[in-house]
Amino acid sequence: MDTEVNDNELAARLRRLEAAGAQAVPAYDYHGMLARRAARDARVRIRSRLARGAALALVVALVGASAWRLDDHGAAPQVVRETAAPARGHEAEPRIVRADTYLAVAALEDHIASLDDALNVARAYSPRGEEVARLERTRAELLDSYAQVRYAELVSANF
Amino acid sequence: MQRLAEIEIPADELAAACAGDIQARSALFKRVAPATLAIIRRLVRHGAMADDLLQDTLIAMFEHLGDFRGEAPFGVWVRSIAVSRCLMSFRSPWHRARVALESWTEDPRAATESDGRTSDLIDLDRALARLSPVTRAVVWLYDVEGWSHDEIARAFERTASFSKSQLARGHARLRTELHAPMTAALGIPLGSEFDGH
Repeated sequence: MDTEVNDNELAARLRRLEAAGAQAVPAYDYHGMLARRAARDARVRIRSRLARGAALALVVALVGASAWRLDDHGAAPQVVRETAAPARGHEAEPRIVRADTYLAVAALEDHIASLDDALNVARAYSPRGEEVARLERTRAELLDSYAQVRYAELVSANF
Repeated sequence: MQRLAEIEIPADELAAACAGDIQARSALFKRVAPATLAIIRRLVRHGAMADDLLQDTLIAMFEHLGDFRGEAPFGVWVRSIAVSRCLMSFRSPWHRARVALESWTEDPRAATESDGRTSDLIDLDRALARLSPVTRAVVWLYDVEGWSHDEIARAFERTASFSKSQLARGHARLRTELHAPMTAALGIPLGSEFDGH
């Protein structure tokens, strides 16, 4: 009972807080809002292209590295025959120390998550709209890139 | 300042805005933006994030003007878009990371402004700032905006029990925060059972 009284009192004080609130002034007007939106859309497009470019470059690099290592295994016996012992020791060192996919994978996952958010909103307002179709297309492309990176990781790990 | 839920827009102005008339859209923006920003700032206290959410809300409003049926005041419709945007931002990993970071780096007392309010309201504002975003949203929507537990549950995609427990937790926390200075001055440890009195 006491708690209920306190709750009602709290609610009344919260309503007073709202009534006493200062006028909130937006940092931009209608045209400013449109300009901000255009700038944000441009940033999203650039980020999307960068993520796709990075994923593609990584796939090429990983496949190239794998092929190089494969090549290296095939050529090794000849090299061993032709070179002296110290050179053999040098050859045993790995040529690629590390090819980390962490950043590309994280960037792709972040981008896919933000697209999911945008898709939720778009579906809530117009389930069959053009915006939904566009976002789904972009998401499919990113998922494709993501799958390629993961596949390249797998291929690289098996060599 | 007029509350967002009380804002009504004449049908002819809405029709003009819906048809793409720039002046009508600009006037509509001026009419609803301050009250929309006020409620967004209540739910999301981060200034830059509130500006972004205002933009998202109003862009969505303009894009879906044709969907407004006029069954409730226009402001109620805009409010539902704003609240849904805020709740969506709470689910974002970026937002969660920012909240965690700010809890380490920022003093909530510094984030509140006095702007001529009485000290009890300033204390309440500070106490509100210390609640988690989700609890604060539930408390504000229930106590100030007059939403029911069912409406809150739908907005959060949870059950009514979730809303009730968040509200109870929020109230208990607010009561503790509001009585903390007094209990400290009296030498009573923080969190003592003032609720039972």
